Amino acid sequence: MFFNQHGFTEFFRENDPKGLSVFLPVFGTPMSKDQPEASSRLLSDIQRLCKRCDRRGKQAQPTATPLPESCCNGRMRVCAVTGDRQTCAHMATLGVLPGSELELLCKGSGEQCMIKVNGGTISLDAPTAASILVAPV
Amino acid sequence: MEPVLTIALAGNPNAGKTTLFNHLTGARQHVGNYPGITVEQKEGCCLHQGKGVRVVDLPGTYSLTAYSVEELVARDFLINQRPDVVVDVVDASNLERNLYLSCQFLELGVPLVIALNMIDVAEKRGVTIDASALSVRLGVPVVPIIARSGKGVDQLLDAVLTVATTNLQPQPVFLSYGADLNQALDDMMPDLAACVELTAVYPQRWLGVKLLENDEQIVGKTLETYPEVGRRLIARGETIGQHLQQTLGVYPEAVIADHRYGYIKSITHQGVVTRKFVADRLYTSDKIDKVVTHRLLGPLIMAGVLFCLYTFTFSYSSVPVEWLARLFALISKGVDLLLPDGPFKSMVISGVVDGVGGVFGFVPIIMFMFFGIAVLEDSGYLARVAFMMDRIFHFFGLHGSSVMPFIISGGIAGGCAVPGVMASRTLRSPKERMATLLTVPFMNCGAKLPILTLLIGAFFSAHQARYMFLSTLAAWFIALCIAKILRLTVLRGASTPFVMELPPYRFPTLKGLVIHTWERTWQYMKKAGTVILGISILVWAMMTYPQLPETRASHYESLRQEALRTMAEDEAGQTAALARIKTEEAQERLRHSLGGRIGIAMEKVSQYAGIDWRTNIALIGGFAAKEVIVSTLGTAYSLGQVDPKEATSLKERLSKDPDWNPVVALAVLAFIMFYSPCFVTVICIAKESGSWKWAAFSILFNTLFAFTLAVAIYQIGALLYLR
Repeated sequence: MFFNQHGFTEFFRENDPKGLSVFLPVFGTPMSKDQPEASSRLLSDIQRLCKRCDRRGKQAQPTATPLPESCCNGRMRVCAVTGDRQTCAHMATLGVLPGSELELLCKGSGEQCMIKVNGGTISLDAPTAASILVAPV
Repeated sequence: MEPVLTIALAGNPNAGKTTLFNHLTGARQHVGNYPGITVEQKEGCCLHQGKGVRVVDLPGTYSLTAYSVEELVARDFLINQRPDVVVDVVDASNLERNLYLSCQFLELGVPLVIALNMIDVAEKRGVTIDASALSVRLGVPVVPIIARSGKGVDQLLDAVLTVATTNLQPQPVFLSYGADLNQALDDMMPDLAACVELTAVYPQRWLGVKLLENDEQIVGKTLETYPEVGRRLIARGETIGQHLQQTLGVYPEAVIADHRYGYIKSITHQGVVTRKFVADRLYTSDKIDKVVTHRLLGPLIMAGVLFCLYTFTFSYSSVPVEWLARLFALISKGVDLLLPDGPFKSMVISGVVDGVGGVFGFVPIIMFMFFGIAVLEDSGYLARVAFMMDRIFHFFGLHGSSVMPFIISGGIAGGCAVPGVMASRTLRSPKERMATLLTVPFMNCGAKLPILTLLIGAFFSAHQARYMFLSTLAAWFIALCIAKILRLTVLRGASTPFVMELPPYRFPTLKGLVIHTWERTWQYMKKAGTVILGISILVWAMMTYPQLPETRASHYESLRQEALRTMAEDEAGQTAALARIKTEEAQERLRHSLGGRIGIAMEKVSQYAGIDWRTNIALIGGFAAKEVIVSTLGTAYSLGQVDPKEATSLKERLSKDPDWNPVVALAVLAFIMFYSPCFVTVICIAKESGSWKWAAFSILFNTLFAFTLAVAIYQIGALLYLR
């Protein structure tokens, strides 16, 4: 019951007019930039263009991207958390779950990121940030 | 009065546990370590309604699954020690995240009181929380408090006493984790019921949830106690894990976390929380972060802040340092007047007063440094520094949080390795912490500065500033490279992810700053002050015994008598002759002492680095404290005691000495910069690492490395310039 109130099923419901099952393969495997076209196409169907990029006339990334590669700071929706089990579990504890929203505050001098999620500010190192795939809200 | 009940303060990092702890206990607190690990254990006591309360401040955690040492410590304390009441300190301005831990306390079934802290900050942010409604929904007392001002703390203690005096044992709360996991848990129940030893300690369903979460400690205990049943339970967990991976691409932990957050949302959305603003806004703290952690502005601001910290510590502490130096000089003078001449007087002055004075001379610097760090820490800026430096340090196998120990130890020349080593306690990962502990002594601490100034001034005076700057850069370079080598060899292991919640910027409270500063300074005084006494007496004895044989002593005495007799009318000549005899005697006494003999014996090896026996004695003395190097060099080079700050005459003497040249000076400089840390630092390394093995490693490895470097410099330099 709670599963439907919050989390990634909400994400599917909002973005998938055809039904949940269509997207399951996308979340069944860890995603990366060079992922097969079949799965990325599914995400490209649900992607929303970044409003800031749109305003500036820039081309937003067509698919879910690792957090450090996102085009702008601002609100994002988590598509998947890749990485090892402990990283995923730790991220889940902090509220970074597939379907949840976060705000990218800034990127550091490297590829580390500072995000705001559930009202708290969290700093992520480059590998952890890269394991979070996001799409603009 | 004996404490009658124990309360544990638990909560997320930065929720205000320590502020509440300080408010409750004041100065009546004791800081120690949990057995076997370096996580701080703070205990204190207070009195409420005539009842003594023992308060334990648990480490800040986000969950009760064993992902980190802190989480393990907090959980083990709650389960094994069974405090009468657990006070969950919840940050009201960040309610959902904080209630995640509360949710796990409810599942564990501990007697719980929620302290809704920083209610004022939440209100300023337009968030109103109905504490009584929250209390009804959660089924535990919820008391709004402001720990900084102490508002509501009495009501909190009232609630604690009420819960403690109620004999009803709270029942664990059952949360639904969705059809798949619920089914898995139901399937596991018969097997879990058979694990009688474990269910006597842990609630049965909670045990099942932890097995599904792949909690290392619980999995290990189950397999150890009930191997067959354990394997079955773990196999069931793996089956559901694979199913979730295949269908949703997530681990069970994510589904469990999702449902816990769902449960929390279901509570907060039922009229508990009212927001003025619809969306989550960016607060002042976030706006400051945008500037302070900016790619270009961030490092500049950080450099400015660190420079201010450095100036504050070393400029303002010089006055009390001077006072302490005068005090110890006065004590020395007093002892000189009161005690009759002899070995006992020499030991009291050179061993006890100078040794203890040497340690206490650092106290003002340490105090100022810790005060500065406490300001940065309590304001929230230190976490941002770690965030900005993480990438560079990560490359060298260290952690973003390693930056502060490096800077304190002399990253900006002039720090001290002792507080640097102690500051590494902020690091969570044990291997990165150990690498930091072992490499911070490579920095140019304040005690190395006089010898650097002396040798650079004597041999490279034309480029003094450039060489001093180069020495700082060399210290950083070597320390980071050694850290990388250690992390690739003896401290091999995966890097810990740098994931850290950044506290919002806050004005630190004076009480908090004073308590933080005092507790750390006291630890230093206690740790170093007890051992230094013994070792400084040992160093004194090494430089004094065995004394000159009777024949040689009477030889010098007869020389003195002769000089007095023959030069009775030439006062200036007599003084010069007596001084010459005195230095000759001092030199022979030094050669004859155990330290001198060791120096001469070591010369057989040290000559490959161009280091003679007199410098060897100074280097042995430098193990006691690096400042001693200059004064011992002064003695060894027949100049009597030389004040490190007035080393001009020694500088001239060294520059004219036939055994010294720029190549030797460079080799000696390299050796002094990188050889064994002083013994106070070594003791601190042993205490912080929890093992003398690492302290011994630090002595041997650093000395070996420094010697190899010095030999390389001397041999290559001699080949290029001296032939």
